[in-house]
Amino acid sequence: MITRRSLLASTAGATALGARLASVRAAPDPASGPLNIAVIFDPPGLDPTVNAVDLVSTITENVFDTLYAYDANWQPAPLLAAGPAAIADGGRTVTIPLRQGVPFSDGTMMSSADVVASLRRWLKLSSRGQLVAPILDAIEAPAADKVVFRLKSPYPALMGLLAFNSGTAIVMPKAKAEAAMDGPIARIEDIVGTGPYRIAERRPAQFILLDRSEHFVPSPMPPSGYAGARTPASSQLSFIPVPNVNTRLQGLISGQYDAGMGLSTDNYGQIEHTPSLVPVITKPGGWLFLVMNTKQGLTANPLIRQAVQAALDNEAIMLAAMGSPQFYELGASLYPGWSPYHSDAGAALFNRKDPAEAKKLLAQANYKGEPFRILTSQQYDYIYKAALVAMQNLQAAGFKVDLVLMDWASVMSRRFDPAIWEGFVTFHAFVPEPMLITILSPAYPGWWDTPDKRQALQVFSTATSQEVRSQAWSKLQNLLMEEAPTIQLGEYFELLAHQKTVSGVPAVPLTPFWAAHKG
Amino acid sequence: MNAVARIALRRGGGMLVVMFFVASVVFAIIHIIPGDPAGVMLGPSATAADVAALRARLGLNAPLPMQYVRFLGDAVRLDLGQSLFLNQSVGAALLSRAPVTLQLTLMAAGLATVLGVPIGVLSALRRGGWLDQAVTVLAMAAASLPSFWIGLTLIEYLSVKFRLFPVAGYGPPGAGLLVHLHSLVLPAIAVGLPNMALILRLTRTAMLDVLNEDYVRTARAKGLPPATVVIKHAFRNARTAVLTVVGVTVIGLIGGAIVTETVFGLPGVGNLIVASVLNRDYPVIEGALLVISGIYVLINLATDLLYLVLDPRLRD
Repeated sequence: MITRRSLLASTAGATALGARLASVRAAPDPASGPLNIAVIFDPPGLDPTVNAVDLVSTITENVFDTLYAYDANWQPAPLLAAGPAAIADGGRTVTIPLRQGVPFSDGTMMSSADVVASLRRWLKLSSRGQLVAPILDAIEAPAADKVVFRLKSPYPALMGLLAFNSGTAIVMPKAKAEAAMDGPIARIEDIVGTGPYRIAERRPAQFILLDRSEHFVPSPMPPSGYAGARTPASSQLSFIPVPNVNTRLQGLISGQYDAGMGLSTDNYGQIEHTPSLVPVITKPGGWLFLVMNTKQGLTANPLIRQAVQAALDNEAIMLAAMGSPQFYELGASLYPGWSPYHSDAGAALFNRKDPAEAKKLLAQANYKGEPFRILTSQQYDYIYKAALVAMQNLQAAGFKVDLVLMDWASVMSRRFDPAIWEGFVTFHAFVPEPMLITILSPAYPGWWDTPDKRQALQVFSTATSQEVRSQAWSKLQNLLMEEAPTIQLGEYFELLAHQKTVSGVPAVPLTPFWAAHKG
Repeated sequence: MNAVARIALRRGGGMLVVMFFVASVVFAIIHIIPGDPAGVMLGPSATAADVAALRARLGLNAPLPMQYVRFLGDAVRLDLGQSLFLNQSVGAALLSRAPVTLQLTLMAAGLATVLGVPIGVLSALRRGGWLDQAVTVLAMAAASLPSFWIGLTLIEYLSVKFRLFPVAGYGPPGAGLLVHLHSLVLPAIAVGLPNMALILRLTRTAMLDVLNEDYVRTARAKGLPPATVVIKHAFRNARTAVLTVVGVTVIGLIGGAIVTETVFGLPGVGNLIVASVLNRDYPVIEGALLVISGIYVLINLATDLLYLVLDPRLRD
């Protein structure tokens, strides 16, 4: 199991996250009015454990705390925990000390029983928690100031999963956790956390209004990334769904909104030249993937997948998708240079843009012109453009390609049927812990599950030192490149903007707004 | 039984048939198209097993015929079910959104009618003149422009440049009725303008037909004031045609609200339907479309009944 000491001993320098957050200081100002933040859509719920949708996390991370959160170095750091976890019994016993005197927004005090009930719910309902559930023996609260995980085998990624704010391990009152054990939290009154804000009102399609929580007690640690003290700088945050991207931008320009998320990268120039606005490019970015069906059909043949990999021009794809080199980066490594998981393994296979090589591989695979069906949607403009350019690359290499267009909900549903597609383009949010990368799961559509992969994943998932983990990850990344179940097209960055009069908006994904304020 | 009661009864029966047909078709379509509310709730990281587990928890695994029968049975009892996402009944969701759409529709219909009818009459009276030609060209332009383009242009100039109206939304928390109505001005113009053009053109045509009739010539020959000739004799006979187009316009406005509410971020029924379709909130889709189809039929019925009031000859 990774301990904080071993992480601190690593040579990872200050990260972009740290640099971006260095100047963000919460400046509590009781006179600061509501901060109006325009968002892309009305979220499908406000339960971040069940709704692993970025917007849900962005809103509710102001309401819920977790035991750990990622700090400026993208390492799990204590938030509701009082310190690092104590690991014993060869990594099978993980004891997490708890802060005392932490109130929920309803005024009741957090106890270890609340934490256990919340974690049980997370293990059952969250796609992240379900990674842990199979190796969990028990989770207990032997005392008021600690909780204990008893595992069947060591699981080094546990801290990372507890810290990650999607499919989140939120802490809520025991009664509310137990009442919502079968599905999403339904009522606003039951959304009770220990965070700096509470949900005051939700009017569907109008706003989600957060009030500063009068009971909030911040962490005694200094702010660092998503961890440490989350002191609320504005009295209210108002998240306003504005589905039309142009309307969102015009609302910013007119001053109706203080901040706007999910802006089109095509509008960067206009925002930059608007004196009242500040553009913000969030980093690190997520990944754009072309996931391929390894279970059946054309792409079950590795030679076909390698032909796809050889044919793709990643530069052209990402430029078409994002509109400007400011909004993407290319590189074989899934993780940036500052990460312990940065690796050049398999780099020779990345971005080859070699249709001749692809044709050779197709000939070896005895390709007879079967259609390569790509599921895609215009609902996400950058995904659609990426699919269009990929289609052209593949056609140049001799593939017969069918672009199957549908709305995003249909893509999400149809991808579970291996009989009807060979590839689909999707986005994957940045995850600091590689075990959170969905394509590694054999159950994730794509269904990558070879003996070599299973073995490499087993080595990685049970490695207890950072050095061994990094080496194991390098091998896994190399396998990902060689077997090509999924092609990483590039890293993409998102654009948001705020008024010049607003400060405290960090340039990070799942942008937290607790430190944002006007004036 | 008088004509009004006969028509009301006959149309009432027809209305039930139409609504049953709409309910069945909508139910079939939304369950045929791919996509799943559980998948939307869980997000792109979910596996098939995650989605299946949530579907079971949400009670979405009952056989389709059973779901259909249950839906119809509930609808007869005016129970449209519970939204999967909004934590409220479909009826409550519709009622909370209806005022916005109703206000928008009334403002747009008012604008279209108050401007379209008098200008159409004037245009007919000045047939061939510069006013008629200018109005014809402008009306064709207005009818050709898509409402979302009109909306975005209005936002660009009246909201952003001149700051006369909000860009989007229905007003901040706690806003009063005047603020809400102020926020509906641009959307009403966006959706009302193309419909005003339609009403204008059809009013002009109806008036031109009537102005050539003998009784209008007789009224003029008798020396009646021009206003009396136009309003009491000509327009009175053209009004049934105008009523038809106004009725059709109001129906069209309800549909047009869907695009306009999305562009302007208005929390109306149109926006609710769009969100429900994207989220696959089945009960809301079924309930909302059932209610809207009922409203369409009621508006048609009201229009037909108004014909009888305005034209006694039709009562036979």
